[in-house]
Amino acid sequence: MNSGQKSEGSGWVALIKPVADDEWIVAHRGSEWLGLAPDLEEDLAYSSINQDEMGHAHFYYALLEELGDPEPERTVYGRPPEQWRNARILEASNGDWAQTVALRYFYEVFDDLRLEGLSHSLWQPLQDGIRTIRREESYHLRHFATWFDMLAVGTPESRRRLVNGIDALWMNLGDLFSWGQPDTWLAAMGLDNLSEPVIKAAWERRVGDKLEAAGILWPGPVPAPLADGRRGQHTQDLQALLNVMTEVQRTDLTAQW
Amino acid sequence: MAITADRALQLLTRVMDPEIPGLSIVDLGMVDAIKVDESGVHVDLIPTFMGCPALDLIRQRVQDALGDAPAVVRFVHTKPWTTQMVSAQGRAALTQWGIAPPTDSPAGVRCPLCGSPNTRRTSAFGSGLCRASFYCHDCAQPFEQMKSI
Repeated sequence: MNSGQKSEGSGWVALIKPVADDEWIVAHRGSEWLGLAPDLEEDLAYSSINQDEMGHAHFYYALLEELGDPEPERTVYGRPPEQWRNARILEASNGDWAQTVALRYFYEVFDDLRLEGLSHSLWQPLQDGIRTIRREESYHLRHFATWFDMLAVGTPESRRRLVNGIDALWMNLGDLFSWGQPDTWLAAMGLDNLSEPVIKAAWERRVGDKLEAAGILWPGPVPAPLADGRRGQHTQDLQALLNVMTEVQRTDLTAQW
Repeated sequence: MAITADRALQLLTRVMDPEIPGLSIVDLGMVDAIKVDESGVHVDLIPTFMGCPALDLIRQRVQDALGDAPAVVRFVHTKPWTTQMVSAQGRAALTQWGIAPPTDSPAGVRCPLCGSPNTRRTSAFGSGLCRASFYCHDCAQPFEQMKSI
């Protein structure tokens, strides 16, 4: 990396770290469905999707290492909750499958918009990776859009459970769009489309269209977050997740994987 | 004796996809560039899927295949891997192993077991990141396709 890029290093870290942490945490929670998904096909599909997401996270962590972060293994296994920058809703423990479908549909729409924004970044290695990642992500978005539609029109029960899931999530989606700090630096990087109000409005339009097509009442604008995972403010669920995730690794800190 | 880039490429045709014997990483379209200089052989590989768990193994096998020549194997993202990079020989190797080669559309995928086009995609996902699941209505067998990206 040349010195010009290096001086912008902190901007790149602020940009990439929340993306990496979102992908890792959503994948970890997703992996907990293995063996519990509604059918065998979904077990295969959801495992593939989460394995993709972990691959994406690993790519971002490798970029962060170039920017001066520790190696990916340490970044993943060695951080206390307050150093994670993922959105809080992604760390929440699993519950009803319909709520997971709603969450993943919401997240995939957000990720799609974010990747579109990131594809305009002026750091070539990031741009190259994003191009590959988007080809894989298009499958994820389609998968959860299909699930969302199936549950919305399936049976009265599937629809009720989907709507309940949406209601439970809606109040807690706010920090998804946050950067944890005033995001004027995005404009300096030419990435205005990623700023909180812009990406949030784009997300609300896309999701609003989906809800309208499904005949589900629009819950209103997503409220501002009461706490912000992008600033390291997390729920107890993240600590619980990290305890499980690092359990094997902590039994022998010197083991080679 | 120093190895040439041509010779290195020839050696890499012996490195098989860990899950599909008979399909070399060359036919899979993973080899982007081979350069030889005084420090050794530099091989740039294009990863198929970002999260492919076989990448480390493939890197190791490339190094082994090049023998004593000092080799530096990198995974590069400068161009995305697409299923169009799979060679005709690679497509034949896939079919022979029981996996339908990638196509532009899920319609008309031929069953690799009986050749029938009377098939249906049952899932865009399969037993690996690079697979989709299909069912053949003629020989009544499930099969997988290398998925198009």
